[in-house]
Amino acid sequence: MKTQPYFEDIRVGEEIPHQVREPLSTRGLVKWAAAVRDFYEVHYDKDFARSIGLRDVIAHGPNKCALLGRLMTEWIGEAGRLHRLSCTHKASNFPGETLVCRGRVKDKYSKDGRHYVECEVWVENQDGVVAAPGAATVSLPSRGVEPLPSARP
Amino acid sequence: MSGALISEQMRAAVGSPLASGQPFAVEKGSIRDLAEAINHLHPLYVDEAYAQSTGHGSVLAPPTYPSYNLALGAPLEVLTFEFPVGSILHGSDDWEFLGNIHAGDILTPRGKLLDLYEKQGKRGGMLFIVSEITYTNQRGEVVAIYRPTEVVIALPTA
Repeated sequence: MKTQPYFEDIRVGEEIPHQVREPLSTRGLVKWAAAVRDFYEVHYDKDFARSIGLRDVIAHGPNKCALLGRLMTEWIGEAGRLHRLSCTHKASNFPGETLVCRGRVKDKYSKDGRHYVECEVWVENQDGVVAAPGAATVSLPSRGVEPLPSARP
Repeated sequence: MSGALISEQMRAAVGSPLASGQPFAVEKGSIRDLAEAINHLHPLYVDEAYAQSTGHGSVLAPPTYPSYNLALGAPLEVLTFEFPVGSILHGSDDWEFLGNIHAGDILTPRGKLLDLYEKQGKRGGMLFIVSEITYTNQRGEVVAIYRPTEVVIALPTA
């Protein structure tokens, strides 16, 4: 298991010390489609995808956003909280590609007893082509302070 | 303020309620399905005993769980396009996470059309439709707000 990061450990400008790598497969897209009940054919029917000018089925945008959620929640640990997450879908991703989720610290500040860290986050493919740039706000525990209850993983 | 794609009638629809889904029960099985789909089988999501040992009443849902069974096409029901539609893409996601969601909760989505704007792209006009879906649990607590944007690509007119 990873160690719990604390607010004092965070350095503005540094890339976060965690990444998520997920190879894309049609099978994986179908699992997402079933999990969220999004049955738009462009995500599993190659003939349909080709009929609208794509070379193959494409990954769901909200799936990439959810992977960014996984990136942040895995990094911040059970004593951290994810408050805000956004991303814009700039490029399609196809089976055979690998999605890589990364983040970088933009700012940190304390407010109302919470210790916030703002990050830029993004999903790129295995060649470094950015598909979904975005932003996330988390809060982390502070050393020597009792952790807040009801933490999220 | 209307433009090439946004008519006065469309502009007037901003703020309209959307049919963004019915109240639904948060079930352990659907939490697990989502956790598996993002390959994040954290014990808080899938192990009831572990979740309870850390102060949760039941297993926790991953952050973006509320969009389960979301009607992303809901804004199209309150908009009438006065231009030829080429394709519709999912443009962006924006989430605020305000409270924990556990198995056994009942979530009520309430959607509205939040904003419309347009841009000129390489292939022609693009209409951006921003929705806002507020998720409230059975105790009346707002647990999440989701603002997805759909992008309608207009076909070029000859």
